[in-house]
Parts: sequence; C-alpha cells; structure tokens
Amino acid sequence: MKDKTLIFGNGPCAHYLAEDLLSTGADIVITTTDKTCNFSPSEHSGSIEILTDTRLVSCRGSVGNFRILAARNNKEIKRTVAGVIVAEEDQRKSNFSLYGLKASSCVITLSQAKELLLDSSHKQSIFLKAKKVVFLTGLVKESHPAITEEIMHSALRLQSDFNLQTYILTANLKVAADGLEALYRETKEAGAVYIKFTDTRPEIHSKSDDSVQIEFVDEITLKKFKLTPDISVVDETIVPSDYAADLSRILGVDADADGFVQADNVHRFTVFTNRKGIMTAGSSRSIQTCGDQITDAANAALVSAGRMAGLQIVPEDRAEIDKGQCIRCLTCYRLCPYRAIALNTRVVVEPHACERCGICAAQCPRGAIRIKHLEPESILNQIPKGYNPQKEVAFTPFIVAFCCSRSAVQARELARCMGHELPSGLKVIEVPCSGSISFDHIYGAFERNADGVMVLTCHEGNCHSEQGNIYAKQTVAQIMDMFLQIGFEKKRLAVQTLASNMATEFAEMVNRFEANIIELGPSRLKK
Amino acid sequence: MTATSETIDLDQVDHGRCRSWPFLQDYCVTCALCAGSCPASGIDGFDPRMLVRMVSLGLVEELVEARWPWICTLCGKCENVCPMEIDIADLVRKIRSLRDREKVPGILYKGLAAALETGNNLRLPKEDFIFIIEDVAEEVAEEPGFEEFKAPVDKKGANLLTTIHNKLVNTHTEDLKHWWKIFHAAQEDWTVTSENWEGTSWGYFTGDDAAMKVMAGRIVEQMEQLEIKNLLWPE
Repeated sequence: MKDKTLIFGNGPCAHYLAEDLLSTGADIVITTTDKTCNFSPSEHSGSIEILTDTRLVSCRGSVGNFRILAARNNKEIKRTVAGVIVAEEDQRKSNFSLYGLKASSCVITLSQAKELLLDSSHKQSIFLKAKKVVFLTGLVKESHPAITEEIMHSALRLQSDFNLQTYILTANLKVAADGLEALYRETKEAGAVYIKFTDTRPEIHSKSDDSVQIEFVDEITLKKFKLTPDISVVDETIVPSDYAADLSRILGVDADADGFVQADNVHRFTVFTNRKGIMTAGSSRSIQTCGDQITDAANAALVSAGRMAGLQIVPEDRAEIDKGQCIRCLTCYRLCPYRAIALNTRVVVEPHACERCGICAAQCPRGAIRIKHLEPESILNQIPKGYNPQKEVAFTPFIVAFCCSRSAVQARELARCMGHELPSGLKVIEVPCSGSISFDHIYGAFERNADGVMVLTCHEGNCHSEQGNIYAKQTVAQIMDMFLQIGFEKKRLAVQTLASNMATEFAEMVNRFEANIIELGPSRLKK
Repeated sequence: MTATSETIDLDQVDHGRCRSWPFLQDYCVTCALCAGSCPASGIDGFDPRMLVRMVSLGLVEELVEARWPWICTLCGKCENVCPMEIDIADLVRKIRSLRDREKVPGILYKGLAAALETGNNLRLPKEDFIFIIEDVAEEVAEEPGFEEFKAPVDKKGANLLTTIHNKLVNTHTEDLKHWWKIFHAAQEDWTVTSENWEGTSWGYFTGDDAAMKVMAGRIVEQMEQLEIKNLLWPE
C-alpha cells in the first residue's frame, strides 16, 4: 500500500509539507476551506489531489487506515489515508479593547502598520506627518515572539526611514526566537525606546479627538513620564482559526489552552498529537516564524515518511477487549487518550493506535480489558510472596512504589546515581503509565505484605497519556476513602507527582513516606 | 537621587542627545547585573542601571548635577558582568567631565589643580620630598639584610622608573618600604624622580582628559631626560 497523507491547510507550511512529501514519492491529498489553492508542485513522483472548499466531517480508523469523510457543497467526499497532518493557518485578533482604545485614524493595529510600511511610495502614509509612534504590546496578555519581531521591524523602519521617535511599551520582552536579540540591538541603535513594565502598567487615556495620552512611571529611573503619541499601534493576539478548532474536535486531538491543535505537553513536541498518525505543523500549533514553519513541515514529512515501516506488523501486546465480558459501557472509549478504541459492531482496540498505557484496563468496570504483561497479577508477581522484612530486628517498612516509567523510574535511577540514601525496604515497580494502576494493584500490594504503597507519577499536563496521572490520583483517593470507612490508616497510601530529573525530591518523598510508616508501625494486613 | 513626583513630558526630551557617545548605553536590556555586582550600589541610592538608563533616555543634566557619578569608584565590575558590554565606568567619567570644574568635589578639584601647578597633589616642595625619601630609605637600611639599601633619586639610565602615590610621602610612608624591599631583593636598577613624581592622575577621576595628558606627558618627559626604559605606574 502506498502511503497517502492528507494535509489540512493552504498556507506556506501546508505547501512546504506537500512539496516535501511529494519529493519522497508519497501521495498526498490537500484539503482546504479556501475556494482556491495556488499550490503548484515542482517535479515529483507522488500523486496529488487538491480538494478546495472542503470541510472535514469525520475521521475514523487509526494510523495507516484513516477513513476520512468530508463535505463539499453538501456532497460527500470519502478518502482512505495512512496519515493526517493539520497545517492550517492562524488568525489575528486586534487588542484594542485590552488597552481601552478604539480604532481610529491615529490608533491602528500592528497589521495595519505593517501594511502601511509595505507601501513603498510612502506618499499617503500617515507616518509622514507623525513625530512619535507608540507600540503597545503584551501589557495585558502575554505577547508572542512573532509579534515582537513584527513590532521591532516596524519600529526599525519608522526610526530609520521616517526619522520618527518610536516607543515600545511592553511587559516581558519576548526575544526568544532566532535573531530577535540582534534585531533588538538594531532597533536600539536606531533610537527606539523600550519601556518595560513589571510591577506597574501605563495609564492609557483616549481623548475625545481620538488622540491618545499615556502616563507611566519608568520602573528603572522611577520617573513619571507623559507621552503624547501621534500614532498608537496596538498589538494582536495570535489565535487558531475557527476551522482548526473544529478540526481538533472532529479528529479527537487534544488542543492547548488557547485552542491550538496540540496539547501543551512535552511528549507531543514537535509535531505529534495524542492520536498516532495525526500530526500538526506550523501555525496550527502556534509556530510562527518562516524558518520554524519550514522545519516543522520537514519534521512532519519525515515522521510521515517513516511511518509505513512500523505498520507491517500488527503488535501483539496491545490492549484486548474480551467480547464476552464487555458490556459496551464505553468507559474505555471515553478514557483512551490515544483514540485507540473503535466502535464497530462491537468495541475493539485499534492495535496500531494503542500505546499500552493501561488506562482502559485499569478503569474497565468489568475487568474485560487485558494487556499482555500488564495484568495486575504479572505486575504484582514482582513482589515476592511471603516477603516480610519485619521479622528482622528493627521494623523496616516494606514500601511498594508504583512508578511511572517516564518520570518516577528515571528520578529513582538518578537518585541512586547521585548517591541519595533510599529506604532499604523500598520496592519500585515500573508501570508504563500510572493510569494503569487499578484497585487490584494497590490491594494486591497490601496483600503481599506492603506496609505502605506509593503511586509516583508525572506532573499534571506532562502525562504522555494526557490524563493518566489524574486517573491515578482519582483511584488513590477512592481507595483512601474506603480505608477511612474500614478503619485502615490512609496514610499508608500516597500519590505524588515528579519529573524525571527530580532525584532529590524522589529521595525526600520516599524517605518522608518511610518515616510516616515507621510511626504507624507494621501493617495489620501482613501475613 | 530619588523618584520625583514631577511628570516629565517626553515632548521635551531628546533621547538622541547622548547617542553619539561610544559607551553603548543604548543597548542596555535593564537586566541589573551591573547593579548587582556594584560595590557602591545602594550608597545614597546609587544604581548603575538607573544611571545608564537615564543617559540612554537623554536625562543627562540631572546626572551631571547629582552626587551619584562621584560615588562610583570606577572599579569596572559592572562592565565585566554587563551582557551588552556597555562601558559603564567610562560613561560615568564622561558624566563627571560635564560638570563645571569648580563644582568638582573639593579634594579632587584642589588636588588636581595642585598637581598641574606643582607636579604633585600635595604641593610638596622638592626638598621636602627628597628629605622624606632619604629618611624612609635610612629606616629601611636599619633593618637586617638591607644594610646596603639606598633609594636612588633621579638616577640617569636606570632600568625602571616608579611613580609615587602622594599618600606614600604623606601619611603612609611605611608602604613605600614594601616596594623598595622587593626592588632591593630583586636587585632592580630603579629610581624615583625628584619632580613630577606624582603617581595619581586625578584627571582620570574627574573626567579631565586634558589634565591626564599633562600628567602622563610629564612622566614620559622625565623618562626621556633620564634615559629610562621602563615605567612602573602602580596607580
């Protein structure tokens, strides 16, 4: 089967991507809501189909076999593709209201200023008569390096070509992109004045004749200044397009807090989403600069090209649903962070999409889901039966710590390398995701003579399975509730979050926990 | 310097007035590493970052009249740490240079005037200087191992000329001995001059480049007359 990839988008990033994929010989489908698409590929070996004025309706299946349903003029379009890449453009929202200003002849947006500066004739430019131009950015909402770059370029032009005095009023100055520090220096050399606000904010007054007066205290010199700009330029917030927001909903792909098509989760960077085979690149995931967009497109194309290799073999160790046990409650469908549960005539797992996190198996109320080597009994077999260090002279608590492979296990390794002293009765059990820890795991550990059980997981927002750590916390909270009712010390159970580099914190956590358990004495459940 | 409640209208301020200065003050990113490293930070509210920023904004008169530029010791720690490589100490000198000479802090103003007139900050006559040098030399010669010690004055063709900080022939004569003992032990062929021996150059501290030139010129002149190759100028 030839690798066919569907690209959403019609901007530079989508076009770079299309070019890259075609050059590897892949077949592509470009879909856009635009009426036209001016992508003209250079010589290539792959085939290309362009669907304009088209919107996605649904996307079923999994990596290697996505079944796409789209609509164009109320007509259905169906395609089957191996991969999907979202490379939609973003939008700009002007920030007048954030600064209590209204658009007028002397209060304009950054995009307007850029456009005016593009006009090489200058003849009608409002900048010709002006003496002072103020840029307002990031004072109410965080700015973006791409916006900072545009402001700096504009200020540089105004200083050098129009001989204007420019002021850039900003909170944090976002210079964390390639070349921005150099550009900053250039603007300073040209005479732009930056006023940075940390603890205070400027007072911006809009007068009846639309003119603007700004009063502020410069936080470095502690002096009060009054500034009457001839033109005020307000910054813009970069937001995802409405269609991109639709796409993330229809595709079942996690979006970040601002709605961009990628969760703000380190495990997804650079171009991945929670759904295997669905990637996102460029503006869709809030990447702005031209260079970064090209890199993003290339990354997505690379991943896409390498994907086919892994698809020949159906993995055996993925989740499996026992059809006799399944009561179709759809808990797994609801909880799977990778959208690996498909609803066919019965509920099944898409093996290529499954990442073996274990959340479905832990949460299934019927215990109908099994993942090879991850069943409670295989995990608990790591705790030797009849193990009871209490028989030794002093009480050495036996502590079972279920540790997420991506964070706590790494932190423990590091703690050992750094020479931290760890409890001698600590047994670390590695699990792919703390979301795989069920009641059975925790009860099982107590049954096997644990004096205390810890669940150590990733920080919130850092979970590879997006919600696994939250499910783990819920599970632990429920068990603690039960402990309270039956009169068993709930202090014997703990759930805490860690990052992989937190060795010292790991040692502190387990040692503090051990101290608590020593205070409680041996568990009454011990045999 | 303290915050003023008076509002400054930026229509009245020319930010470009110091732009031609070669100290890169406009590159300041206001990171405050200078203020953090400055040993004089906080004395009378002294803050090198604020000083740099005021120059960059063009608010230079206020600085010229302020005590601040004279609190700075010109030690240069600030420029060592400055990520933008701003020449902060030279900037301070520049501000000092803009003050009316009569308003230069007393001791510096008088000392420099004395040095320009008489060759040293103390107006110490030549005979007194020679007397002090010989007196201290005799004291050194009384110490065991230094019996042969002599302090050569105006020795023609010596290898090394050393200047003298005026306090060493005033309140700190003991400190002369350390240098001299080292010279003696190293069998250095050294000398001091009976005139224009002043090692301090308060033209440097007052931002007076012309005065610095005069003081340095005199030393060079002495070296040429006495045919001395090397100079030790410990200031």
